[in-house]
Amino acid sequence: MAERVAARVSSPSYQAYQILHVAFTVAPVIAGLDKFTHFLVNWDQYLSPMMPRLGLSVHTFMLGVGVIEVVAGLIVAVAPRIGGWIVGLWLCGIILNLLTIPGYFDVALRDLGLALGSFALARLSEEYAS
Amino acid sequence: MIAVVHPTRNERDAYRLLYAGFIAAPMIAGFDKFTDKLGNWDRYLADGVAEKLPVERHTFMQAVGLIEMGAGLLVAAKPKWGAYVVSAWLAGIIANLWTKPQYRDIALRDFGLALGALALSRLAGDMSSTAA
Repeated sequence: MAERVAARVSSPSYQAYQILHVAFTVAPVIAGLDKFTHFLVNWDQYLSPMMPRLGLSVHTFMLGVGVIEVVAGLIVAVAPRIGGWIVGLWLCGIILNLLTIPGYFDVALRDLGLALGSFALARLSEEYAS
Repeated sequence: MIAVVHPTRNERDAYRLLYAGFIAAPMIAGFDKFTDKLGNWDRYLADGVAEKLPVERHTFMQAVGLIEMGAGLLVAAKPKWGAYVVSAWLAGIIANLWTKPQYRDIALRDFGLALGALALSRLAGDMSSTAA
């Protein structure tokens, strides 16, 4: 059993797990924090006009999005088995949102690739997350 | 003793997700350089690069599209090496996008994708030891 575990954690698949674990912790945290700083970009442009904003301004709504993304990244950090699904499903929501705004479909394609990566992390976490 | 470890169902699932994603996404993104259905790709090219080109911006982006479709096919045929190529290509895109401040969020997305491609390459190394 110990040998099997040792063989597992030295395997290329374990490295794949580590890479995805880092990526899907860091990226949601950065994207979430930047909803407050707008260092990377003005994120408010991405909110679909069709999205019900609960009476909030676009910027306030996106700040709420940012908080959720930071929390999602932290969940991936401590519990990637669950966090991988949360981030993947969140990205699916972002894709639906972006598909209602013409001109951002290429961004939606990127998010599709990211969603698949997040689901892959969730599967790998079944093997490697303690 | 050498432990021969076969990929588990979870590893195989993860591999298949990334394998499908990193064939489809470069093929679609490459093909759309010719159709511009998803977005206007020409705007992403760094101005410093575009100025030095002997060809028009759009022509250059079509060549980019051909390379991306080729990279998608390479992933399909040789995932271990194709994924490295896609990852390196994405690193180039990130450097290019960083020169355009309004697209830095897209650079962050491409950073996540580049790491995803690296992960695919690592997984492919484990899959190829068995009949995948």
